[in-house]
Amino acid sequence: MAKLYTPAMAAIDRKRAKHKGPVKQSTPAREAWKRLKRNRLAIVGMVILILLILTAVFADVLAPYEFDEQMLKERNQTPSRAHLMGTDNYGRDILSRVIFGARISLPIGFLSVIIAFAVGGTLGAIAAFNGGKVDNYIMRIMDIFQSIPPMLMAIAIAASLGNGAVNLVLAISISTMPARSRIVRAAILTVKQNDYIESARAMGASSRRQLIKYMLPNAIGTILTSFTFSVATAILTVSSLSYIGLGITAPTPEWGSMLSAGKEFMRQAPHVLIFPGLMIMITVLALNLFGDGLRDALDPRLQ
Amino acid sequence: MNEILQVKNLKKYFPAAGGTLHAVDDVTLSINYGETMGVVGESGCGKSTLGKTILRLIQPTAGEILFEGQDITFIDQKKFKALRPKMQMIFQDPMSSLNPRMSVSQQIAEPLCIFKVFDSREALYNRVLELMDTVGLARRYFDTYPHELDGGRRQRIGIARALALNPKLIICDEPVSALDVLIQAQILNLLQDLQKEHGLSYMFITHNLSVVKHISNTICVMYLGQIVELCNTKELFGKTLHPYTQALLSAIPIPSLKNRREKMLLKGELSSPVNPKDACRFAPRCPYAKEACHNSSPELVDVGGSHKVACHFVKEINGI
Amino acid sequence: MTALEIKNLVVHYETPEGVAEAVNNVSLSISSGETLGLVGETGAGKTTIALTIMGLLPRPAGRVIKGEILVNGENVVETSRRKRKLHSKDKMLRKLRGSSMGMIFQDPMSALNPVMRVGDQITEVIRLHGNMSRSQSVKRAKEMMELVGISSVRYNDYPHEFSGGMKQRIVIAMALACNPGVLIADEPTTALDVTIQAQVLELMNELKRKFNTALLMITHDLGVVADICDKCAVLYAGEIMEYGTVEHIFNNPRHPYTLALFNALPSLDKDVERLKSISGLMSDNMNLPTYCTFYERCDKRCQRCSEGDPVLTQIEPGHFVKCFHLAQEQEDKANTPASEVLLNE
Repeated sequence: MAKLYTPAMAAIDRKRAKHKGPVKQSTPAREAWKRLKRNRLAIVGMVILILLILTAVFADVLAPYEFDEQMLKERNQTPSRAHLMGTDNYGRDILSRVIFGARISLPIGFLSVIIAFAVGGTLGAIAAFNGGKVDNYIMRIMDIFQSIPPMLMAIAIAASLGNGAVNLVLAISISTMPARSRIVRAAILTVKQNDYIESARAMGASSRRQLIKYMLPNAIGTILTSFTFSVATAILTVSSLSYIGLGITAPTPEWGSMLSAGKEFMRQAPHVLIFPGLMIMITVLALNLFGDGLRDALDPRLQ
Repeated sequence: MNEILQVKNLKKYFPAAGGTLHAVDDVTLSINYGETMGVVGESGCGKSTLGKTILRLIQPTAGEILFEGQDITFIDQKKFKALRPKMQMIFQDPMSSLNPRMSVSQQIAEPLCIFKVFDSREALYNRVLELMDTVGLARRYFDTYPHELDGGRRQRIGIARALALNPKLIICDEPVSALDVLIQAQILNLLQDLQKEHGLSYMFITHNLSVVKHISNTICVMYLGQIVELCNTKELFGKTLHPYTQALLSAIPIPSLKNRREKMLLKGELSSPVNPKDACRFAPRCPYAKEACHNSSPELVDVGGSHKVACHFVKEINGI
Repeated sequence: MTALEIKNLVVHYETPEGVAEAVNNVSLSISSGETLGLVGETGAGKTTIALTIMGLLPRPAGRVIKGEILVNGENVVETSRRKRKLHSKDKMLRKLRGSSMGMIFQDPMSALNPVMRVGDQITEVIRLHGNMSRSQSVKRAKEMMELVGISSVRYNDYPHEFSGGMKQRIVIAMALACNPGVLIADEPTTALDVTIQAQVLELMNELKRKFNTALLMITHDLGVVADICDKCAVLYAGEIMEYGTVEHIFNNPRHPYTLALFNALPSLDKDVERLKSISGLMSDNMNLPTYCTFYERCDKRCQRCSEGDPVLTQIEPGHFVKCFHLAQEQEDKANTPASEVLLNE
């Protein structure tokens, strides 16, 4: 049969060809973002998180009063137009204190997790990459650290170093470091099994290149996800330590220490407790929602 | 010198539960310039281990590997790196052998970057585009990522990457096993064209006898770490001598209703060569096995016309 | 007797990216004791058909839009969403799944529960569907093991103690334990070595005859079809392109796609310098054309092919092809006015 190629067919082929290209670039990160956008709860979490960060940055502008401004005439007031969240037993505006509190909890939370991941994560990566003896030595040392519950360890470190933001960061990062090293190690070990690591070796890629261009970019999703969850835990730890008087002390408006201070007046003025408590809850919830969404978005199995 | 690669008595043993796994045991073969050596066998026969050992992705236990006459068996990794451009590998699963976080151009440029072939970005990109043309990848895929492409195109990336440094020998580890037949045919044709154009030598590892027959000059059949039959392709398919090769050939389902052959069903299944005793490894499944087969391991001997077979009773079985 | 009949089946997957038309108007039938090979490339819709028959479509994405699947004359799909929720229907399906239809999966390892003794796994299937006592079921399970060539001494062994081929034998024993009328095998030998594949195919052939089961063999390997099938359907982009007995398909393949498949295969008998391959890819099932789905890869295409979608047409008794050219040829030969003989109509 003679092959008939009519102008109409040519037009269709051209149209199809046009339809196909140029191919829109879609990087793995962009794909992940597309999946994340679909998850409404994660976006809610993200928005709350951004609002919280903005609150911390612009606390000076947002807060109606100074956080340590004592209006002794207006002690333990219930929420009103002048004081949207009421006042505490020194007559300080709770809204202002809560806003300034974001400046304490968020940086300490993030910083301590960053340090824990930087130190623990590097050790974990070294252990996973080298395997064998190196892995064994590093992980056994981590095991020793991990045999002490992190909270107890944080209390011990905070108690011995004394109060203050810097010491709090140290206490939390040291106590959580072993767990973070395990996360990074597991992530790299999983990636290491893939054929593309072997193909990189076959191409002659150096160990450094294998780690930086092949293993880390593929492990970063898992690490990022656990990072958000870790920040949530760290913020809870900050508050808990402050609550028992080991972290940030008055008059610095840390949410945990505000809870602690307010517990005596729980019956007369519950709002003193409710608002800082609510802030802790919202922050942790937002981080967890966002972390959940991030995990789903970055998990290649769901693609 | 005709051989680009010579492997002599190569052994690779792995520690395994209950002893030593003889994954590659005393393998001797050679590949000529511009030719294709097909390595066939079922899972666990050591064919992949053989390929990876030659490329030193796995350290050999004993034996000799000569690449262009140079002994590379135990030279250190730094010295071996200088040889890497000449010997490359194509992997089975194009999805898992490509880094999902790198775009097509980055994947293909990777070996060129590792060996710092080009100084300017422009020269590098030109080479990448040239390679994409060579393997038939449209230029519009330059910035796409592997997950956006189909299996055939992914495998083309793998091939372009292997070609980037103008290698002389490419070890293809089941390069078409994960592909559909139509794509498989495209890739096989591409590999053949490239061989002609660039004078490449291939070691083609596969479990598929029809594919290996199509592409190879010489075929080596492996069973549990050893070569059981080795000869040129025409000879092997015209005059199959080893009972295992015969069984393997008869077991392949033929996509035709005409000239159907009687199946020679093997009993039993493959075991793994852990602490093998001095016996023919195929004996437990061999329909012709006699006492001698269980008592000594047959040597790979030339039965004429450089047709090598490892079987005690090859003459009796085939009446020669 | 027709054991399995599929009529005009249309299955869609509803995903956030859009609707994927996985199966489009597929009709086929298998009689007891007969084997139908369903061949196609990755993404042609083979597995979707199998899952739909078994009622195992992933929910909520997978949805039967249209069509009927009759197992022993009983419809097992409900297209309306409301009815699907009814428990009675689900219960009926669950009962059917083991007793009237059995399924063999590609990967025997993931089809078996790794922490349960293999014998108990077979017994459980029998207990769920047959009205047998515990001891009777055990006895039957042991019989089944012997039947698939595994000594019943190994009743108490765990899956990891068996090799791949042996595991597939156990899966076959489980699928056949209740003597189902329909057996669906989804690439049952793809994960196995050639010599083991030959053994398993032989076993399936033997058991099929013994139990008089209708077997739907899903595979991408035309060799397997030639080995054990009686009929064959060639699937492309969710549609049947060619349908007939194996004699029709292998001795007189007519559809350009079927021919392309045969030409692309390296042969053991002939020496071919270069394989014939066609360029392009299977149409994306999210964006199927309104004209012939094979149009862009077809070497016989003409303007007519780009204007409409051909229907499955009978070109000789029992041999159906979905192509304008062949339908035209048939028409010319018969020299009768356009009469499109449709399958199942």
